[in-house]
Amino acid sequence: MWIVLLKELREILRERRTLIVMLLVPALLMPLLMGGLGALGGMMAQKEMNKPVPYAVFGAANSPAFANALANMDGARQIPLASPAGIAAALADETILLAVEIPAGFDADLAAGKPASVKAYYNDAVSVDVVGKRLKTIKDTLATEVRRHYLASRGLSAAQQDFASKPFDITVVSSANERERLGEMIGIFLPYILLMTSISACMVAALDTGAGEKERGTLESLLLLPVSRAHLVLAKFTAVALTGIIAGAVQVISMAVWLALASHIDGMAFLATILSGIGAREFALIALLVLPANAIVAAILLTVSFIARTYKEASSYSGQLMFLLVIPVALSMLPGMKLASAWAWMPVTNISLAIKEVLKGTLTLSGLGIVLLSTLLASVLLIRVCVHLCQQEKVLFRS
Amino acid sequence: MIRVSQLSKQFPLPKKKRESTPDPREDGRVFHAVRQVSFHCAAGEVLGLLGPNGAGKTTTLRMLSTALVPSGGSIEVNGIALEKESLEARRHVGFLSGSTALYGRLSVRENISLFGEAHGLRGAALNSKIDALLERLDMTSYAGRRVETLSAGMKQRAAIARTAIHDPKVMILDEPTTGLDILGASVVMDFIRDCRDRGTAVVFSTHHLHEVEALCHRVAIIQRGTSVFEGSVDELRERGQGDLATGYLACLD
Repeated sequence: MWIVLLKELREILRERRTLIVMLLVPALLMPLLMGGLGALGGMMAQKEMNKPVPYAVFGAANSPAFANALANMDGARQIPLASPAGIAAALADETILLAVEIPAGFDADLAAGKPASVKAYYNDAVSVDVVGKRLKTIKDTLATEVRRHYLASRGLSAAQQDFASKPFDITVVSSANERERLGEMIGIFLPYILLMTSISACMVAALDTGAGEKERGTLESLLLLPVSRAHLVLAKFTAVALTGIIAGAVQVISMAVWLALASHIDGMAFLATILSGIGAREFALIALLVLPANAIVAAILLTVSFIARTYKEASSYSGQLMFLLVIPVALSMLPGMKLASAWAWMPVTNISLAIKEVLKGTLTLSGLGIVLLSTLLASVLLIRVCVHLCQQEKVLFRS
Repeated sequence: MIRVSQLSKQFPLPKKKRESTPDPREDGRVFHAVRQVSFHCAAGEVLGLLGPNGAGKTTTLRMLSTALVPSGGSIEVNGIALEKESLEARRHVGFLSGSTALYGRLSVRENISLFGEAHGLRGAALNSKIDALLERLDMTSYAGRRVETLSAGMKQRAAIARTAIHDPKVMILDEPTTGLDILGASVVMDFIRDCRDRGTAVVFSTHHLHEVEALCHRVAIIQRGTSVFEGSVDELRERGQGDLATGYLACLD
């Protein structure tokens, strides 16, 4: 078996596609992609926040203060419109991004202590609601001013006005520490990235060692070695699982390195806090959790690869299977998902949840035990199925 | 030596296949690829396995090489019952086909070494054996080259070296000269002669009667999975009134 395993590893290490998915993607491409997307997202959001807001106002005379606030809004540029009837068209062709109608008697109503309302027209179906934010700033500022005048006119002192504006506050004393908060934050996506990297690497290796060998005809010559078929399958399974484990390990190390580097960038110091909480023990725990996950994935993908008639067919099946394997990982990203109750027994989902707990520093021994036990049981079962199926003539010689 | 008695192989038929025009070898839900085929090949003898395309030659040879498990009958390799001790029998069998089935990303030496190690050869003994084989096949300078960079002829030489690394007592060759030029084919022919001279029992399938004439002592002909002839080359020639091709065609329906 070891001779065959060594052969498998040699082949994997000489295959460009596997090397790219196993080493290059987790070490460079994934961090660059994530960092790049993050930076791009930040830049785009900043650009949106700074963009000019052409606007039209009707009834400015009804509230010079409101009209003045609009004119002083960031990026404000007033566009004259003939009548409110043209608002919809102007918003549609983006001549303006905001139109405000101030009704007659607006200021008079406020002065008399009557509630009043202006109409604002804009498109709020956007990812960054710049117009809404600027309008809210205007509203908050003017409302504070109006409230102050109103209360002062009623003879209230400044302290009484403050009380009337904000009678009480809630001071939050969090039971979570900084590490837990950050762990919860990065724990949402780190297991996903980690498991997807491993699954991708396993897939490429499984395709090559199963359907690839079948297609190239080399599988038949392997079957002639004085090695039992069960051992042949186990050697191939180990090679596939190892590929996933190596990819996962590279991913963890590269993320640590990239996070450490990124923590020196202005405004990213919080990354150092995350890293300070993840020591050798946490890395070891994550590795321990990823091991059986790879066994599960390797067994499934190798079986599919052997069952397929050709490499192309295996690729197609594996591609579909990736979506199925993503589901348990994605489940762990849902709000409120915790490593408790039945979810602790759900393979792959529980690993993802457990990695989050490791990052938060809240993984209990019993939680770890349940995750390892359930994953181990699932992987042993799947390996047995894989070995059983891959020994069958109808599978090996299916063409 | 190798002795094959009443060898049979059935494959379950896929649903679609069962609904199509029936083949005489189809029997309900099964396809009889090989039915009660018998022949033997003694040490130092070369047996040519002939038959039209789809006759069941490759299935027969795959059973002899232990890749497929027979549905019935028996195969005895050097006194070892293949169906009972297939792992042990593999130590006595070498298999070579037209599609070399070498690992392209491994070097010639690594390919041969993999098979040598699997057969229990190690260290200096393995290396000296590989060196000797490469020298015999005139490809010492190719030892470190990846197989994927070699020509078809060179690949076949490497495949021969891999097949012979454990000195098998029985050599199974499935159309070993397919796709080779004259030089490549002559290397394979020389290899078969060499095996014969060393006392190896050689069973090989071919469509080329000149190869049979040049190498074989005996011939077995299969048609539609069944034996239609087994005897010496001379006996086959006699059936064709002195012509081997005529004798061969006379055995077929």
